[in-house]
Amino acid sequence: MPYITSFERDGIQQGRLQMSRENVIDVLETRFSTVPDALRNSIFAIEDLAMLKQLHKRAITVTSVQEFEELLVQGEL
Amino acid sequence: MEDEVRADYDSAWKEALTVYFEPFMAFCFADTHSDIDWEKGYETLDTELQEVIRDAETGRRLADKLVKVWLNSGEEAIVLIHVEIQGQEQSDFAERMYIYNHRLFDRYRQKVFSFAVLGDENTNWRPTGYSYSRWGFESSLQFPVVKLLDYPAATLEESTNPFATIIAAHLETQATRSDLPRRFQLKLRLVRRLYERGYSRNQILELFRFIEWIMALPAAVQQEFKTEIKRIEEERRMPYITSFERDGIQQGRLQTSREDVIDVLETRFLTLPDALKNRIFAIEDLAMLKRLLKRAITVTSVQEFEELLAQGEF
Repeated sequence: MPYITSFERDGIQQGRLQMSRENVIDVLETRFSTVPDALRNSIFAIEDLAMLKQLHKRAITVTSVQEFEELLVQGEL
Repeated sequence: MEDEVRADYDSAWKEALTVYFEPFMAFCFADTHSDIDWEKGYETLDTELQEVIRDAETGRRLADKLVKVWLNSGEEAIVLIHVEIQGQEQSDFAERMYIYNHRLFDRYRQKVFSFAVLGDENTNWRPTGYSYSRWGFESSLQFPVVKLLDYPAATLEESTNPFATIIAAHLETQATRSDLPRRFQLKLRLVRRLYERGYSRNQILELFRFIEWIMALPAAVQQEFKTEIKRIEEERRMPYITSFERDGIQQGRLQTSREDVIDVLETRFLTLPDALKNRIFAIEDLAMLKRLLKRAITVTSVQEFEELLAQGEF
């Protein structure tokens, strides 16, 4: 079992963050066609993977972009 | 602090002995090394070793290594490298060597040659054998020993043998247990030397992995170390270690992409067949996973998704 260096670990974390953000936006775009820039920017500013996981699930189930934005503003996630 | 950065010596040593067995013998037991016909290769017998020592030893991970080699004379020989790293259980060290040697002899009915590597910090502790006798009966075991503390820093520094780097990392970690800023400096120096050695890219990466493994630093100091490495690699135009980060990013992106496709399907359809999950986890193509994510949102059933995948539509 080879050891994973901190370089790889940090890389994995970065890659996971990048992809999680992109995918939340992709889900919203696929479902609702457009995503406001402000929302996009606030998603890209999130550094918390667990929160992005939650957001990803909510992006699948919300009924509108507004509902999603409200969830985010209320800090429900 | 000590807990946070406690080096996982045993696992690192075991892996190092696997990867660098020949250089290890050359560096630590040169006479034996020259008796072995390395052209014929060698066979590691880890599973067998586990079987033999399982009931003798409980709960402790062993760095010991059992290897079958061929001698220049054409004979086979079984070599057991017994590594004592942490300095625990020193009192019965020789006895354990005696037991393992006899068990292995019994298992193989072949000559088993035991060697000891003493990686502890007690200069006075130097077991060389185990014996007992009475009534004219005598049973004894003598074994060759290397004491890692005996290697002068200059010898380790001058050698191009990769195992010299492993030993240096080991000794420097021990010596800096309560001086982590110094460990940071020594680690940096050891890595810098890798580039100066004329090692290939792969050799550098392999050795670097061991240095990281053995010379653990607290998170904040490790960040500083990473910054220094990046600077050194830029300076030398040798972007080797920094490539680990790129590989990591790619891996992280892939992992998340697969999980997200599965999450979408599970959120929408509750359960997924394991076969489908396994298929998704086997995908290595990021662009394909991106397309799959979108389809996972729009398909009307898991079946539809499976069919799309089966048809190779992505």
